[in-house]
Amino acid sequence: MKKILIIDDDRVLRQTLAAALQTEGFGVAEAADGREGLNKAAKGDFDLVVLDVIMPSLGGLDVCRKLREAGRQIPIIVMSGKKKKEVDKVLGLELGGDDYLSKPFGTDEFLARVRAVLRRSRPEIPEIEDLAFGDVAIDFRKKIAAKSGRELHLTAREFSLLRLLAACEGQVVSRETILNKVWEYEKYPTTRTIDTFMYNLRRKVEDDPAAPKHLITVPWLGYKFQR
Amino acid sequence: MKLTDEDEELVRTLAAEMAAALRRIRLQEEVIYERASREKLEELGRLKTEFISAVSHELRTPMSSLQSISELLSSGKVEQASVRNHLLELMAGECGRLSRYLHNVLDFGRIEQDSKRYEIRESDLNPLVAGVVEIIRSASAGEDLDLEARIPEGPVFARADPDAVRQAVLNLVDNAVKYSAGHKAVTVRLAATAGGGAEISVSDRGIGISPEDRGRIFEAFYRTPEAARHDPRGVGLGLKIVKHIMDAHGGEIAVEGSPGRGTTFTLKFPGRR
Repeated sequence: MKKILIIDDDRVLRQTLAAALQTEGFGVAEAADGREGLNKAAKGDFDLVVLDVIMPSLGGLDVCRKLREAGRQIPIIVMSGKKKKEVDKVLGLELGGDDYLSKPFGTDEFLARVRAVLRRSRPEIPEIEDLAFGDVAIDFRKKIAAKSGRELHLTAREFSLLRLLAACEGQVVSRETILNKVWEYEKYPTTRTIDTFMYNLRRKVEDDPAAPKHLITVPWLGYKFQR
Repeated sequence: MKLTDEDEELVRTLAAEMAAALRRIRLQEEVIYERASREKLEELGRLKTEFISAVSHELRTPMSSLQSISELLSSGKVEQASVRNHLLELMAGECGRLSRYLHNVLDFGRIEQDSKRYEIRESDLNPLVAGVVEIIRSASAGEDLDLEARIPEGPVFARADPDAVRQAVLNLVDNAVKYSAGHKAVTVRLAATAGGGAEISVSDRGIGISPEDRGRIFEAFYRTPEAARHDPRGVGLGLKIVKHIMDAHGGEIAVEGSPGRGTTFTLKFPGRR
């Protein structure tokens, strides 16, 4: 069950959104102000935070900033009824908000945004320690890779990409997810860059890069890994 | 005394200089007046913009709640009767909040246009105050609020416009709840006073008001720095309206308390003269 934290000092809206999320099968926690929200977000294992911009003691944008400073990459939806919504929108997204909801809104729009943000976000790359396929062996902890016993020189990003694909073995991983998880918050390259990146990686790990057996292109969708 | 030609020349020169100086002063006055008018207009324009922005912002949150609750209930997905009832309670409370808010905004417009009228008559304040307490209790269900009503058994008469007094007490109790934190304790008292008057007081243990701010809290749009910190929302009209209501009743509004130790507002209705 996905867990969502709602941080809003307006009790009625907070409880209404909580009821809407619970109806859809989400686990919900509530916080009535920024400080309480920050504590809960820092300690809890949430899949998404929904927060209001204007709150006493600690505003929503400060909560957003502090979470990001603490290295929490949890998705955040920022809500605001402020007139300068475009300013807030920029601030919210620059500060690491993943989406912006302008008041007034209803549960239909709210739930659609929640689902969209959760869909876009994937779990962090799982901590797979090692991987073996064909004649390739990889130790992710030591960042060591070998093919047919000969050392393979992989970059940090190539290790990350292999680990992500291996964690989703047999499943298609979209180029957007690869950008999110492997390139993280750096300036995004184009999806074409990923194709070039994959071409180079195949040349290192595949016996025949032109007919790959392990790093498979799924047309229009992305890539998948198979042993 | 006979003036010489030189004296006359001197007087003429002095008169011309004085006339020129007066013209300069008048021109300067006109410039200053025009600038002051322009600044005043600009200030009014700024206040108006801020007011519209604040009102619009204030309406957005309850509108979100109402839209969300109605969509949720009409979706048919809320299976538990207890959750449906809770949502309906929230909806009723939110409608009340919105209605009170709009009432204040409209009243402020009437006050500004000097068109707010009162129907002051002999009225029993007892059911009126009890009604306000019930409204706030119902709207705050689920909040950590201890709202106590100290109301005498029998009627407490005063010359009052019941709707206006209800609005004044609602504004005060709303504020008392809004500007309290943690476990909120608010007490509403009603008492008859000597000479046929009455007093209604609303006490809280909230953020309090500094002595310097007491003089300004009844100004339109004014919010104390602590109030704005505690609750960044708000327009600053409630107390202005309460003051107008009490002035119209020939009464008074007294403020007691200190920062961090809560506030007591007392509405004093005069007795028969």
